[in-house]
Amino acid sequence: MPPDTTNYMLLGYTVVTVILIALVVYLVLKRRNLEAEIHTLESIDEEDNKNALKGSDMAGKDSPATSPTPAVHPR
Amino acid sequence: MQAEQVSPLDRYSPGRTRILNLLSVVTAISILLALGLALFYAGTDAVQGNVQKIFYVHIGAFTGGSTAFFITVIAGIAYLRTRNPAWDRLAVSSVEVGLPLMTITLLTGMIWARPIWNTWWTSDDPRLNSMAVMWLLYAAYLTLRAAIDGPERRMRYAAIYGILAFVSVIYTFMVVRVRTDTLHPCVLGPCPGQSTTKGSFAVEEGPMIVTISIGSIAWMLAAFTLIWHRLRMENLAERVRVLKAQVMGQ
Repeated sequence: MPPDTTNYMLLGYTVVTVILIALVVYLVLKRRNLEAEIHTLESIDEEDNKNALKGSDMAGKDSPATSPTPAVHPR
Repeated sequence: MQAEQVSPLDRYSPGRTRILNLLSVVTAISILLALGLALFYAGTDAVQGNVQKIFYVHIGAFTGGSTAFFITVIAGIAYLRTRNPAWDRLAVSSVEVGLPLMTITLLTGMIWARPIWNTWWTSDDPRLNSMAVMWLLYAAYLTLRAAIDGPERRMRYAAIYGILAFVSVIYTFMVVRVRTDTLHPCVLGPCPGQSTTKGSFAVEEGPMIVTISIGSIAWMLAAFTLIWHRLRMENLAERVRVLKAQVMGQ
């Protein structure tokens, strides 16, 4: 009759399951955060480009002779 | 710092995403199959009882972790030859996947040792010590990387470190096969210290061989899949860095 070491076996398999789930959850959450960050940064970049274009148009209308260079973005 | 351009190859293509999704499903099924075989098919050891079933995960996780660290070596060599940052991203992704797998190996070993050796850990055993040193070396890889200034310098040092650190993996694998004073069981292959090991068992029966083989393949597959996911994340992080540089007007 083998000794009853089932509790240790269960502890081992629990540890494995917890580590694997933690790893997968970490990957999912980190990826989600990065995608959200990319979305935000792309929106800011797009908005900045629009503003820069608008700024250069305005400058062109008001004083074409005094602003030969494109508008420089403040950031 | 000059913003690095993200290669178009780093962008997700639907075909690759489909392959990765399929690989993820196959990996999940394989791991469940491996666990199922270990629990219900391999049989119960007459001397150790159910705790011996931990060995199937213990060996499998070591195989997966070693595979991940070997990919770090390949990526390190490729980086030193090409200086392409994509290889560095693969190297760090592999370490970040290999380390949790080696943590599983360490912890399952300790849990098995408690009823068999009557202790969680012994500092006299060369296999246990080499395993601990290996784990610390790869943990230090991640810490040291973060501490080095300058991306090119960081990538170069990390590549060299990743290649050299693999010596610890080879030593950990070989130590029970060359040393005669180890307590750690040597399950596969001829081992000189077989008389001093405690808790050894022979892998001779069909179900045990099948379980160990399928388990090892499943854990290797898990390493590949997790590295691929982690690499995509690293590529996303690179894109964030590039976008931040753009927005900040650099």
